[in-house]
Parts: sequence; C-alpha cells; structure tokens
Amino acid sequence: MLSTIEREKSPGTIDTLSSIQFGLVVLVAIIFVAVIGTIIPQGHSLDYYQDKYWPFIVILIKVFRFNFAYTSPLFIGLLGLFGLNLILCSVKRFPLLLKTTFHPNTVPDHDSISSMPIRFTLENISLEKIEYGFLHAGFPLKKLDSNCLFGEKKRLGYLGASIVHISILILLAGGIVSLASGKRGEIALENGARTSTATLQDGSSLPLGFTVRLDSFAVKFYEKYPDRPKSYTSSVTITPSDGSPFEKSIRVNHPLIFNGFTVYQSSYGNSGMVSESSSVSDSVKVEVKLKNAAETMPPLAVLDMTVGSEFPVPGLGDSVRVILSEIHRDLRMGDPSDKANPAVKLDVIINGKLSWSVYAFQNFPGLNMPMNPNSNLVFSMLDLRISGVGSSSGYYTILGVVRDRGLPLMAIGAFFIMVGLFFSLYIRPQRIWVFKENDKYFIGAQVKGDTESFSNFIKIIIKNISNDKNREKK
Amino acid sequence: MNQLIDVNLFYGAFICYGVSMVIYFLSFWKRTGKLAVAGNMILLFGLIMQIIGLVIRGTAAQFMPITNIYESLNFFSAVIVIFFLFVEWKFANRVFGVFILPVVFLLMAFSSLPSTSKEIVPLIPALQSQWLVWHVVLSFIGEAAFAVAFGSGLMYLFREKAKEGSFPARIFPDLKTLDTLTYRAIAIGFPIFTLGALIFGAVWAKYAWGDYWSWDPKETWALINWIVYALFLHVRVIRGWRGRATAWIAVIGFLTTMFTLFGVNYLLSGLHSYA
Repeated sequence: MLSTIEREKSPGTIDTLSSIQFGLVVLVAIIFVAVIGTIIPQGHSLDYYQDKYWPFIVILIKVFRFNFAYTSPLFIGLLGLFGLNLILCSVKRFPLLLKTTFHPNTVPDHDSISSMPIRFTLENISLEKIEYGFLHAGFPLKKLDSNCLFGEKKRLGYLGASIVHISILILLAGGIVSLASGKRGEIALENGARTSTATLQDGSSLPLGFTVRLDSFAVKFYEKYPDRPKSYTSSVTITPSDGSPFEKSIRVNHPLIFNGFTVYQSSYGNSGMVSESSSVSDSVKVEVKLKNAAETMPPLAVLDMTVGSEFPVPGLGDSVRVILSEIHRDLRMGDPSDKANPAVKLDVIINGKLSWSVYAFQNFPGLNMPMNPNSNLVFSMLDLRISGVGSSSGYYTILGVVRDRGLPLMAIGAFFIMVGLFFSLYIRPQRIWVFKENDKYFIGAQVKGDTESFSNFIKIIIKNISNDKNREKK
Repeated sequence: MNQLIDVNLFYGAFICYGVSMVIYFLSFWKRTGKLAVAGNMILLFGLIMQIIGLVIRGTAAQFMPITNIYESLNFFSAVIVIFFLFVEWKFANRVFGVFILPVVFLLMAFSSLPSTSKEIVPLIPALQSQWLVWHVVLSFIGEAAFAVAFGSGLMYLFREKAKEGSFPARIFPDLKTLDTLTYRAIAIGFPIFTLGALIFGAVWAKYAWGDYWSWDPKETWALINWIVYALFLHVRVIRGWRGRATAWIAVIGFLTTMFTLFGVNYLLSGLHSYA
C-alpha cells in the first residue's frame, strides 16, 4: 500500500491511486460505510425504514443501498479501490523490494555509508581483524574486495509487509469469488424424507449432486435446565450421484463438508402442514368405523389416502364429494411444547363448492371436529381413525447449505497474512558494511526496527576489536 | 457450592484490584514508591484469587471459563493484570498502575454488576466448540496487549505535556521508552488479535453458521479495530511517525476495542449476543 519512493514532480493518476494517502482515504470511507451498516438494521425493504428514520435518511439509504450496506455498489466499489491501491503500490515497489531484499548494494562508498542510520569509524587496524571481530560476535562478514566487507541477516524480513499486502489481496479476491459464486440455501426435512436440492433464498432450487435423507432428528435438553438445548442432531444418509451411500451426524459446529458444500445444522421446528409439493411421501391410512361400534367390529373401510384423494362416503349422491385436503404432521392448537398433533383435514364439496371441513386427529380417534357444526351430518355417524402421519418426534430439521468457492483463497490469504505479520514484525533484517578509505574504516549499518540496540551491538563489537588491538600493542 | 466459591473469589479479586488501584493513585499523589509496593502485593493477591476462581469455575463447567461476559471479563482482566505486572517489573516503574489498573477495575466492576449473570449454565450447541476457546482466549490476549499500549500511550500524552524536571516528568519513564512500549505491545497484540479474533473467529463461524464472515456488527467492529491498529503499524514503521500521533492511535484503538467488546452488545444487535 505504501511507497517509499519520494517523487518531486507532481503525481500522475497511477501515483495518486498507489499512494498511502489515497489508501488511507479509501480505508476511512470503508470504515464509514461499515459503521453505517452496523447502525442501520440490514436486509429490510425500504418500507421498514420509512417509519423509523427521517425522510432524508431514507433517501440516503435508498440511494446508497445502506439497507444492504456490505453488498452495495458503494462498498464493493470502495473495496475495489482499496484492492487497486494495494495492487498498484505492490507492483510499483516490487522491483525496489526485490533489489533491497536479494541484491542490495553490497559495495558501499563514503556517501552511502554516511547516509546510514548507524555509523562508526575505526583506524589503524586490518580488515582481517575487523572480519574476525564480527565473526566472533556471530555476525560473519564477507570480503567483497580488499577494501570492503558486507554481511547481512534475516533479509526475508523485508518481504513481510508485502506478504501481508498480497495476502489481503488474496482475501479480497476470495471475498469476490464468495460473493459472485457463493450460494446459500436451506433444506427442510422430516424423518424419512430425502432431497437432492436445496432451496435458495430467492426460492429457486440448487442441485447438490447428492441426495440427503433424514434418518432421524433429535433435540436434547440438559436435565437440570429443561429449557436449555444440549444438542441438535440430524442423522442423515448421503447418497452421492456416483458413489456409495454413507451416514453422517450433522450437529451444530460439526457440519458435513462434501462435494463443495457445507451442510450445517441451522434450525428446526415442529412439523407443520405438509403440502402437495412436499418431498415427503404424504400418504395417510384412514380407518372408517361406525361411531360407538364395538372395538372388535371390523372397520367399514381402510383407505390409503394422499392429499387430493377422494373419501368415499356411502349413501351420498354425486353432488357431494369429500376430499382429503391437508395432512398436518403437527397441527398446533395450544402450547407449542405439547407433543406433535398429527391431523388430516377433509373438505366436503357440495355441487362443486366447498361447503365445510372436518378435522380428524391421529392422537384423538373419534374426535372428528367439523369446522361448521351445523353441517355435521355424515361425520357424526362415523369414527375416523388415522395413522401413519408424520414422525413420532414431530420435528423437522433445517439444514443450511453453503457453497463457497472463495474458501480456499480465504484460507490461503489467512495463512499468509500470519506469515507476513510474523516476518514484518519479528524478523528484523540487519546489514553491515565496512569500507576502507584513506586508512580509515567506515562502518555503516541498517536495521529494520530497533536501531539503538543494533547500534549498541556493533559498538560492543568495535570496542572488543579495539581492545584486542590495544592488547596486541602492549 | 462450587459456584459460590468462584463468584466470591472473583468479588475478592475485584475488591483487591480496587484497593490496589487506589493505593497506586495515592502512591502517585504522594510521590512515593513504597505505597505502590503494597498496591502491587494486593494486586498479586487479587490475581491469585482470580486465577483460582477461573480454575474452579472451569473445572465445574468442564470448559474453559470464557463462555459468557462474566467469565470473559474475569479472564480478560486477569490477562491484563499479568501483562501489567510484567511491564512494571520490566521497566521498574510504578506509574503504569495509575493508567492501566483503572481499565482492570472498570472491567471487573462491570462483571460484578448484579445484572451480569454469574450462573454456570451448560453450553448451548453453538458454543460447544474448541474454536470458541481459541477465538476468545487469543482475542483477549491480543486485547490485553492493546490495553497495555493504551496505558503507555496515555502516559506518553501526559508525559509530553509535563514540563521537563517537574513532578510527573521525573517519575514517568522517558518518552522514548513509552513510545517503544506502545509499539511493542501493539506488535505483540496485533498478530495474536488477527489470529484469534478474525481468523479463528471466521473458522468457528464457518463451522457453526456455515459462513466465515456475515458482516455481523461484532465482526465488522473487530475488523475496524484491526484496521486502526494496522494504521498504527503503517504510520510508525513505514512513515516513521513517532510519539504523539501514534500514542493517540493507540488510545483510540483501545477505545475501539472496548466498543467492540461492550458497545456492540449493548447498542447494536447481532449474532454475538452471548459475548
């Protein structure tokens, strides 16, 4: 993001776009929009905001799409500009970075040493003695020629900041891929039901390339805390389109990762109405008996009915038809913690018009409850016993399905951002030059970070070299 | 039974930290280091109580005690106190307590409020994850380092205002030391925060919610927090800024951290409703 190259001429577009100032402005704008996104509730239609905010703010929300702040063109555009800033400055500083890291100017001169942050001079001593002194202190110097020494350590530390910047670019790219190709949907399944598609947020279907069958779903609660859930477990059988089936328990924090999808435990509920479009085989067994008949008396009829089936009522003409219109896995009537209440609804159609309806309950045989009490003609004589509706648990599971092709890029970016941070914060490149001019040795050094302690380190080496020299003289 | 012991130990730690803070203030006011030694001992005693409390609570819950705001604040303040004791020992200066201990005291005061639930409740399924432990522990270690940078940043700003040779100037560490400490604390805290808060948080989110990033307010504010400290490192390392400007960024950075920790929970709504 940052360029160390100072330029005197007025900056061009590329210079502006790659400058730290531009990067900072964009970052501040990103923060600004991000904060707005945390203040304004996200994901609602404009009507929602009209009652809550001043008209002026609603206009701003509409224009800048602050109700979807993080996918708004403004925010994506700002992230794009930030990415561009990173790319440009990375490219711009790359040649200099390569040179600094791998091909430093090893042969110094008087001027370059005098511009270094750490400088010393030594007199009346041989180059070999200096070389030995540094070697002894654990900082070997190479002899470049008869007048020059050069040594360096930890030069990869120069690359740290660039690795971080490139990692951020990889993360941004991962984010773009996630946004562009990512899919998020849901699968709602009852026991025994199967599906090979997920329903996306817009209502469309996403083929999974495998079939998920719910074998069972269980909610467990803590014994001492009956209201506190302990686990939600969907036991499923996965059948890949070109492989053998396998079983998997999907729990919160333990998703199934398969075929590019993450299938995770998202929610659950009590089974509601089963519609005709449901993937569940929604047949129901109906036993018809005469009311008050002895238990031993065989039923008048045993019918396998599905939604839309006609219920044959003896003794009625063609003008009256009874149709099974709804199958409820769990017809909620009171306390939601009650056990599931499977029921069917029968519609009585007279002369083509819906005249009245009656409910029959699996758990309450004989309680045929007409919706219109005045019309309870036929059913008052009959006892309908239904069975085979829904699962015994009365729950269905909702599995979240996410396909995210940006994930590998995000993982790579996250890994290298840590590597880059480590290099840039903890690997401190150190370089020392020794250069002879007029019987004087000029020692110059560079370090990234703590100049003072490196300077002290060299000072001690020089002191030791001088002491050795004095000892020899004595 | 266990729960009473740990809650009482945490109250004890809170009282010790409060008393210790007052003694550090008195010591500063009276310009004597002797009092601060007493403050230091009481602080250490409080820390030991808090650590024992955390161990008891962790054993009772059979999980790292970081799963709600009460446990988290106790863990967080213990880490800050450990960092503070290290800094005080390293720099042999008693003034740090005046600037860092109020943070610890306020965190503990918040955790001790009657409205903060102190009950050990078993974990809901979303929280039953080792990623939670890594996410929270590393986030708080990083943030504790930011708390140290906040203290040294504030000290820098005070020291800079004080006249050379005057009372505060004499007992404060010199500006260069404070500046270096602020940088080092952030240089340690930043990668740990990056790994814990952002990366491990994202990994956990992927396992629990299916998405590594949801622009939940807490996530967004953690990212803003990260950007503030990234800015600190940029301007210091690359632009060579030193002193007042970077001290201010360290102070603002920690205020952002505190907003991410508290403000988001109480002012904004989102997925991180439990902590």
